[in-house]
Amino acid sequence: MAVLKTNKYAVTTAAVIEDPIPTSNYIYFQHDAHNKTTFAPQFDTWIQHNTSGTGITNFGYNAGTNYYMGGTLVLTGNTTHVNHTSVAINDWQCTIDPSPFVSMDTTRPFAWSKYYTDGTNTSVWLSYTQMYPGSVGFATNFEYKLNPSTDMTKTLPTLAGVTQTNLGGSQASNGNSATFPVYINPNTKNLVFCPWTNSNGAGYYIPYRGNGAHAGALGTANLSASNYTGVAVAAQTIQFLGVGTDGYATFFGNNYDSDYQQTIWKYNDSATTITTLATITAIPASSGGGTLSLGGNRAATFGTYFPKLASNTFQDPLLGSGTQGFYVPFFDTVGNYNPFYFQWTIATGVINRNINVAVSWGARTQATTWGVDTISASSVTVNYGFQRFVVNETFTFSGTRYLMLMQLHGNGVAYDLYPLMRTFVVFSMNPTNPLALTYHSFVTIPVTPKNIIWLNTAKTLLGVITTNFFYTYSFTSGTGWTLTGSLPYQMWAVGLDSTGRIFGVDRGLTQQGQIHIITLSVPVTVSVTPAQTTYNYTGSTISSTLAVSAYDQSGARISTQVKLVIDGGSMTFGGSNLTTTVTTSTVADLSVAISITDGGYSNIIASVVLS
Amino acid sequence: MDSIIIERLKTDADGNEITKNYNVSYELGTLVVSEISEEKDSNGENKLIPVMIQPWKCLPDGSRDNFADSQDAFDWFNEFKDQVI
Repeated sequence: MAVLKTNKYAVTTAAVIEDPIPTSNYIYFQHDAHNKTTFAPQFDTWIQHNTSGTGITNFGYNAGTNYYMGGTLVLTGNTTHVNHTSVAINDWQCTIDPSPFVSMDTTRPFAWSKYYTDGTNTSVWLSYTQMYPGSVGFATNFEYKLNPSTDMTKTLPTLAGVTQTNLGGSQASNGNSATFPVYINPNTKNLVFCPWTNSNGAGYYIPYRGNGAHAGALGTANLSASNYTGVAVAAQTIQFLGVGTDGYATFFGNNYDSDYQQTIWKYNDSATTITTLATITAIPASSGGGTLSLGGNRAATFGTYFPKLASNTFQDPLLGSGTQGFYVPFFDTVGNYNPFYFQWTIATGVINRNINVAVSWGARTQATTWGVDTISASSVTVNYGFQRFVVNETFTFSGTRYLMLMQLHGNGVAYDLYPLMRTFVVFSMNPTNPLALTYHSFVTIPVTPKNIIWLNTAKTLLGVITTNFFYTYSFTSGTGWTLTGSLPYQMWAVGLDSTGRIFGVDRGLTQQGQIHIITLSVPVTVSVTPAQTTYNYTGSTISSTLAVSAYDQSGARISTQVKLVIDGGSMTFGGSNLTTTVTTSTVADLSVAISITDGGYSNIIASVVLS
Repeated sequence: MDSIIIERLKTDADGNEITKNYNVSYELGTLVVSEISEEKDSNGENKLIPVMIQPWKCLPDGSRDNFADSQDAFDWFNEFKDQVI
């Protein structure tokens, strides 16, 4: 890991903004442009935040103190923000950034820096959080640019400082909320938002949810006319489930004062109406106990006021093409984790909730492995409702699908004395039957996990942000999650840029942000295979080859320098060379010429060259 | 077309409970819900803001069924209004 820069200037702007315009090679540290590839400073070049092009204008929120934005990253990849202002339990400042979880559609993730096009017009949206000052748990605002030029140094914002008020309707009265743009409707060209939290005036009751929101013409027009159908719906979280075949968004709402009530609806961003696809209120019956759920409505001793987020979607192995499946946490009447498995038929919008998911713990038990948070407040009339939650997330490794149960707390200390509450548990899914889960492994985070970030698309590299450390983990089918790094920094944000590089930002000496580039220590496997298993040397040199490949921890080929050393006297790489360094391919084995020059054994020692 | 007005308590930006009124109509198997705005149209009538178009009723187990008639549709919305809008 390297400290890239300590920001020194007391200005209101993000620590890092990545230019999302495809023709741009700029990344901005505060206002200053740098080469995105080399990070080299660019002479007298800066990002434009001023709508008239005069002077240098702030970006983001300033409530009288410049450094509120110093802990923020506006990048094009996964980015998670964490508020470290308070370690108190039941405090609005402990509200968790929900952005890693708002989109269940892996093809349409939310990003803080995003470029949209409909083939004719383009727009850029820079989202930012203002969770640090004031009395707001977590909120987002925006800056957008219509039909930008080749980069954002040459483009004036169409409108800067877009607030929720600009997103129109009665949402204007709920001005402090978090709304995440997720996709452009291919038919209407509207930018559709996932209206996550909708703080409710003086009480800031969160999470609330809206029914849907949008802005016209790639999000750049008719902001004030954007729809918001009435005052927000209480007692439900919201996640963006995906897009129907008609182009309209489908959302998933989950109650947090019970585990069994879910609502799924379609948001028509043309008519600004909704159609409900499912309104599930039935308390699930017992599926038999044992590995199966006992159903029922769990008692408060197993958690109250308990937000629970669903997994990403994946093609349902039972119904096949055109359908999606996902898991939703459910705890039965005695607190056993038996998630619901939902099936969504995209074309018809038909929803099916399966209550009979079997969870086999093998030689372990849930009670000795995982514990639900029973120490947070139980009231719903509070403004810190999203200070903790449970999420189950799914990913694949070497063809097997896994489901991981996690519990996070935004204050960073609540679970320090309770290891079971800060344990992430992994289950493997039967490849043909998503209703069968088997315990695979667990990992206990050293201290209370405040939030997570997936460090690669495959979700086999995980970052966990805590109060004083950033932990990195890698997953293998053999051992589950393995701790690969512990960085002793209080990261306010960690995120990925368009090339997959990992940025972190702590507040640094000036509170304006100290920018880190984080390099992961991950296992790499090198494969060296001779063309033949044996050679019959008869006195003449034999020409042959070695097939050399390198794989990352997920099993994917990688291009890296590999040093090969021959230990023995019967083989060379050409001439009399006993060593060579080659670069492996991301698509195929690399063929390396060898010469068999004598009888006897030779070993080949391979090592990755670290740059 | 049958229609009724349904009252609903919600919480406003200041945390106060307010009453919102909805015009709920039913025609040809579809329920249409519109919020009755306090804003007037050119005829002096309260504007109707479309909120929901519902061609089926959602059942408690997640399945769906057709509305039997207008009363069935109105009863369904009245039961689930706090969950859906």
